[in-house]
Amino acid sequence: MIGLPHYLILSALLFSLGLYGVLTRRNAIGVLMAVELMFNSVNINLMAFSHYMMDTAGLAFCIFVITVAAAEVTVGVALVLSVYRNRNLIDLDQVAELKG
Amino acid sequence: MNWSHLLVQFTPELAVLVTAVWVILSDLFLSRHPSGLWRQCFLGLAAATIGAAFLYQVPTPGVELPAIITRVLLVSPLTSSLKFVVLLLSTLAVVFSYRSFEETERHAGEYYSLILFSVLGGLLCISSQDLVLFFISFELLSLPLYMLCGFRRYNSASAEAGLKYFVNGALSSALMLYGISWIYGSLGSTHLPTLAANYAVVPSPPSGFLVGCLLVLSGLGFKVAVAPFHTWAPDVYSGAPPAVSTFLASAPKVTIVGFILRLFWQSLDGTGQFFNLPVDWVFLFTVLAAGSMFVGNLSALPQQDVRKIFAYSGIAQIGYIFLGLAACNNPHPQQSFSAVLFYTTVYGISNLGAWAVLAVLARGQERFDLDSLRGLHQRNPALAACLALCLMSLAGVPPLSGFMGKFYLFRAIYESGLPFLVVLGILNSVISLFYYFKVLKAAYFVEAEDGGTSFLQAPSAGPALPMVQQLAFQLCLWSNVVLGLWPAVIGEVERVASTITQGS
Repeated sequence: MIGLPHYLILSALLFSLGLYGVLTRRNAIGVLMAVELMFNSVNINLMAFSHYMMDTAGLAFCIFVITVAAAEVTVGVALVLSVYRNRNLIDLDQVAELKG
Repeated sequence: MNWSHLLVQFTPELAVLVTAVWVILSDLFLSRHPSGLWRQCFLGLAAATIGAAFLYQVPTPGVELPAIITRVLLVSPLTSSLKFVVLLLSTLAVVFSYRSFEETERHAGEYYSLILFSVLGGLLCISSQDLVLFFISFELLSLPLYMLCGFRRYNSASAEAGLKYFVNGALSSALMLYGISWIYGSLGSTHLPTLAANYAVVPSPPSGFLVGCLLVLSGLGFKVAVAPFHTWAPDVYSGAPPAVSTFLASAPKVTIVGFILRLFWQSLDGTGQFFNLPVDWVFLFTVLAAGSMFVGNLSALPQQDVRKIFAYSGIAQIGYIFLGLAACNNPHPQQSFSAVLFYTTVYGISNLGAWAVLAVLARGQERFDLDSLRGLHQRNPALAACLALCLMSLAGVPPLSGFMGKFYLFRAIYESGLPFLVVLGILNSVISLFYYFKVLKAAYFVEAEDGGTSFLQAPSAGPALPMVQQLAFQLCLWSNVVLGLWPAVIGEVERVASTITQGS
């Protein structure tokens, strides 16, 4: 029988994978995909909680998260594009003109 | 249902929203002239600021807003005063960005409407009463900032700053969102007062709630660049156009500090059980504070780029604010609240003034190393005076408001029984004197390379400042003197602070 803990473990795994991806990926598009993974693990969490608590607020929140994630990626790809136009590369390691 | 009261209570938000939409439409259909768009943006923000000041002065007791609004938006002395400060800082930032985008003039409309939408997000964030609304307004605050940092598309440093800020910001949003999902799951609501009520009836704090609180705190910490989450700040501040950094370094910081106060003390402490969580909050905030003070101050020392010095100084200043937040973790935090609020306001204005000097200079120069400030007091005495007073205020030189802010902060920390933190704070203030005075030395005591004669032709002297910018500089300059010495200001801050824990 699949219960709430299974969903939570799945989402925790996805979240960790996403976090690992953000921290280790070099390609900016790869980082964007990893961030998407983190946002979607949040969605799984919200829907699982919402289902098992019989509460619809989580579902509503989920829709907002999907919308915001889409907007976030749009901005991100636009910024990646503008870096690519200037430098012809999108590796975050090599994009390091501004070494703090 | 009193919809007219609704209009009155949310005048600042509505004014900013209407102006933002108006600026976009006007840019599309009426006139693309940058100074016309600037004027519209400025008038809208100024009207919103005056409205916020009025709402703060006249709290209209007994007004009943529709329940559907009060469920998600809170109107209290704290939110009104924070809104006023945020709007004032944003108005000043817009004033200083006038004529900053000559080479990308075609996009002036986008620039101003992005700033306005970001301000709108900040205003909603301050008064949000529900974590869903908080998340959306937080994103509305952040997304335009990513775009603004990368606003000079053909400048690779600016594009890179935008991308770096975006990657860090998206990571912080995801952390925070995951935290919110755990808070929702463990206490069954996203509505802050309901959360507090649910929390009061559970026998022991659920561990999911604790994880959620820590993740939300780290997400907010990213946004204000507190120590372990600060790595983006120097790159972003130095790569972004200085006019954008002026905004970035002031208004969003005040917003987020205000929301941290609201979330952790007004809402979660509503039941007095916040401290029962199995985390030493004093220790946690102290580690964050000490880390960002030392990292900020020590990394600023060897820097040659003025923008990086300011960025690290911003990290260190957030450290002082977190030191004050550490002192708020006791049963009687009113004094610490008022110290944190006052210091945050002072920090916002002084930091804005210092960045504004760079924003104005950026019209004539690309480089911002210390040498580029040489002989500023000859080229432009007003700018040099503003820079000097703002930096001395940030450093905490006695009669200025920064000193009074630090004095109140350290007194509150001492009286909360944390003398060790006062020692840390004073030690760091001493370290910070070195680099603040390094900048001042360049501006005042080193002559321009080719003597004082050629400054009339020097491109960096630039054209005379428009009237409204001169007035804004005067405002920044005098507020550094007046804010700390005018007792009425402190009285107001204390009055606001005393209302924080009264109901939410």
